[in-house]
Amino acid sequence: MSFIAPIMFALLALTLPVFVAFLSRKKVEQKSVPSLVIFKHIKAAEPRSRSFATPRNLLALLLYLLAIIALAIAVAQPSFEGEEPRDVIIVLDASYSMGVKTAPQGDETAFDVAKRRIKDDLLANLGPRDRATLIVGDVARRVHVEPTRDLERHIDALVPLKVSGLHRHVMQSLELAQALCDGQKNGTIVLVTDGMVPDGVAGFPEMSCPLTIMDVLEPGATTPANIALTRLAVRQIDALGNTEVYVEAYNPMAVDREVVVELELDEIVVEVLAIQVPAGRSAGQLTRVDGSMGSRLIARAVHQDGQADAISVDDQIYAVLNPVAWVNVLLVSDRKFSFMERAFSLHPRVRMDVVSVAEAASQMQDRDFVIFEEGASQALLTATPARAKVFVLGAQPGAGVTFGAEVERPVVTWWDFDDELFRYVDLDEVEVLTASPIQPVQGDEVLMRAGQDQTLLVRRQLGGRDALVMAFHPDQSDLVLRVAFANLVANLVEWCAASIEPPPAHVVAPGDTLLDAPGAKTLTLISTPDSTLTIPANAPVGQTGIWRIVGGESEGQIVVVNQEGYSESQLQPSPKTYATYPGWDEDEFSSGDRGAKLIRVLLLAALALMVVEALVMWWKSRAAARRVASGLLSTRVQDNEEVRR
Amino acid sequence: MKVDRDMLRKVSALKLATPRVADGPLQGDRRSPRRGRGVEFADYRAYTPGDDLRLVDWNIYGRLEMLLVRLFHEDLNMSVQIMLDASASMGFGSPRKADHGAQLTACLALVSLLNQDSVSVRCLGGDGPRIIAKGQNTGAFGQVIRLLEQVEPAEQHEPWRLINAMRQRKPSDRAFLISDMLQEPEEIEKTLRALKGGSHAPVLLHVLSEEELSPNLEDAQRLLDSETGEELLIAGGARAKKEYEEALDEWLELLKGRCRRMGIHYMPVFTDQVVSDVLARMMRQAGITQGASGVS
Repeated sequence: MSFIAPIMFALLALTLPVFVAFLSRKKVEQKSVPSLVIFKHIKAAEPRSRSFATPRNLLALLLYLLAIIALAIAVAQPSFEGEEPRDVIIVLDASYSMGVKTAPQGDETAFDVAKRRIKDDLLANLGPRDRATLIVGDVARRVHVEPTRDLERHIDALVPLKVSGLHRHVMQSLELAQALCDGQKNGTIVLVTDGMVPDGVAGFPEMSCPLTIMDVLEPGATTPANIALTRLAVRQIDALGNTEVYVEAYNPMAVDREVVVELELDEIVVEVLAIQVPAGRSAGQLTRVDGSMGSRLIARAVHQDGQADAISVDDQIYAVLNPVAWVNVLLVSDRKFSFMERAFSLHPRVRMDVVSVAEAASQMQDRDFVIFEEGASQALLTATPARAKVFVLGAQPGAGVTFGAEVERPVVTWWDFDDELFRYVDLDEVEVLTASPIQPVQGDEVLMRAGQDQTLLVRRQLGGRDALVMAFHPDQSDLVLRVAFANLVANLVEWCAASIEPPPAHVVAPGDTLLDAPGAKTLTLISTPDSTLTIPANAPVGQTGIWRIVGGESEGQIVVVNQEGYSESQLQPSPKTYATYPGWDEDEFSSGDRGAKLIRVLLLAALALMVVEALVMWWKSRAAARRVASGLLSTRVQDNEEVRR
Repeated sequence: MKVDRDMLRKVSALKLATPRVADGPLQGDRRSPRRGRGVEFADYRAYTPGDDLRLVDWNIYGRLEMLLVRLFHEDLNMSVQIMLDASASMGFGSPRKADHGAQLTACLALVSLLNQDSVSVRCLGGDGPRIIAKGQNTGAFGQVIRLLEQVEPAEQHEPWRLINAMRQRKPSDRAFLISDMLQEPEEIEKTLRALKGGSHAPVLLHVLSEEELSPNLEDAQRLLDSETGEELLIAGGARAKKEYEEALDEWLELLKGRCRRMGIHYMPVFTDQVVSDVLARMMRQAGITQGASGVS
């Protein structure tokens, strides 16, 4: 037998003051008096009392000492070999695979079974001095219940738990359990799992504490049917938002399956695909969608009648399309009618405002493109946003450009065919009524000429902005009537949209934390319009879907959370290597803990000894009174007999 | 209990005063209410045929021509009961209250017997013969002494029961209860009532020793009641002493008050007082005893 807290034997030091009190007990003189009739009425008379800690005689002293010895042994916590109190660390696998129903028609999932077995088999077999810790292997990977003997806390904590993790979270929880176990004298870890660890034992962390695996699935349990969507890739193919979408599905079953997938863009189903997936393999399909209709793309597997699917978390996968880059155009014009205004407003990616010259200065904010039909000036150029592009139409010397004398009917003889601005733009035989040729300066890119020396279009910096300066107004030509004009407008929009960079989408795996969004306060789930979930930005993101960042420099940016590959979808148990880690055995786990019983016996003995000591003292005092009373009784009997005579 | 025979000689000249007209059964040295033959003239009454002619007062006939017969006080004895408390508490004191009480008892008995009073002596409780010593002459005195010397104070008893047991058909003329009266108030009440019920003129000779009057309470001590066996722990000190004195005064006042209410003559007797002084001086002052000549 050993002792868990041998330092408590220091309690034996209490015997010393008891001894001293016994040896130096005050011998109060006992005196016989004629009668206590008068003494009883004085306040200085105290009822017969005694100091509790002072034994009056040897018997009392012996009882006291035995009680102290029993108490000291009890508090030192005796423990028999092999029955030392344990610290049991329970790691509960809360990965998605645990959400599988264990029986085809039943309601109990593997996770329900795990919770039940923890309560009925594990906690019920703990010894009275054992402590239990609960770690849940979900996205949080934390200690759910600290080491305690209060088993009711564990039972209460189990009730609300749900599956929400990946297998790697379970492994991380095992690492946490290992760290906790290192600090314990007699620690042991029990992993409660369905055994579906992708890499088997090889995937386990280094374990130096004893680890036992409690398998919640019945031996020989059948693999439930499951289909997983494993990939959703998008590629925007033009500026108008046309997007290629690739969807891949995984079939872990033993039979081929046709997987029907809906593509939903901002809650509108834009495509339905039927993917033939061979048994045990992946297959995908490519399609196109109009990305201008939305940005939140969800691929969702549709289960036809009769098709079973064990896990739902792998039935949808998310992606975000780059939002269509809107070009915010300001047309500064006092004209009543403008072909430029008509042409730009018809473009699907243009948001346009037309203002007078007088109002222009106050309307410059957030513009991507400012077109001066008239009124260009240094002041207005300065008011133009630095990133905006500028287009000056016709002779507007206020823009800081030197124009030559007006010429009539210049003939466009050359334009820069390779420039993006003139993609699909044919200016051959365009008739220009009048133009004021531009005097080019150093740094100008000449884009259009009439003859050899009449510059009709240049690209230059005006007031630090990228600008185009045209020597004539398109309205003063037949350009506006040509197809080239529409293409030119489209090219101008592209020229402006290039400076608008779409915000990047962050990609995070379930359970990970968003790291590259400084200052972000919260994340809001926006997968569906009725999503209301908001979590702190620095919390692990448990739920798959599309999230928006709120706060900080990354305000408005998107976070996409998808499960990684098909690790959670593959429901065939990995090869179990219980040779390395033993399976859970109820008989071996049950604790006898005779030491706890001995402690109870010793405590009761100490209490009993004190009670016996008090009873002995009481009996002694009563015996003395009885001796006196018996003498009185015989006297009374004699007196009464005499009275009768 | 011890009886000092020398002391007896000192009191032999005393006499118990008649508390009221005596009515004892035997002829003694007391006035009786009955009128008849005797030596002391009491009164006249008219002659009725059959009266003894020798009782006719012829001098009055000669003067008044009325036939009147002389009446005389018929001298009868006084019945005296003496009860000595022999409970354990009487065994305390130096000299012991029991011895002092026995001395008083013997003296009172002798005085009464010398005056031909009818005396009965009993020890209440105690360890010894439970008899009543009776007599009307000095011949009974030896019985009294033997009784007193054979009884030792012991144990506890209820005196009122024993007093009631001694009660005769007629109350005695004088009854003496010699006791320390160390009883609970209810018991005191019963004892005094029993004493009063058995006598026309009861006297309580309250014997107290230094133990009761001024006990040593300097140290804490565990006190054991000699009669009940009860224990009491006393803190000791000046406060205890003061409180005891106040309680004693209160108790004495209670006793005196009860005696007064019941018409019992109360007389404290301390063990340091000489018995002859008690009888000769204190009891004489109280009118209980008188000189043998009849002068108080």
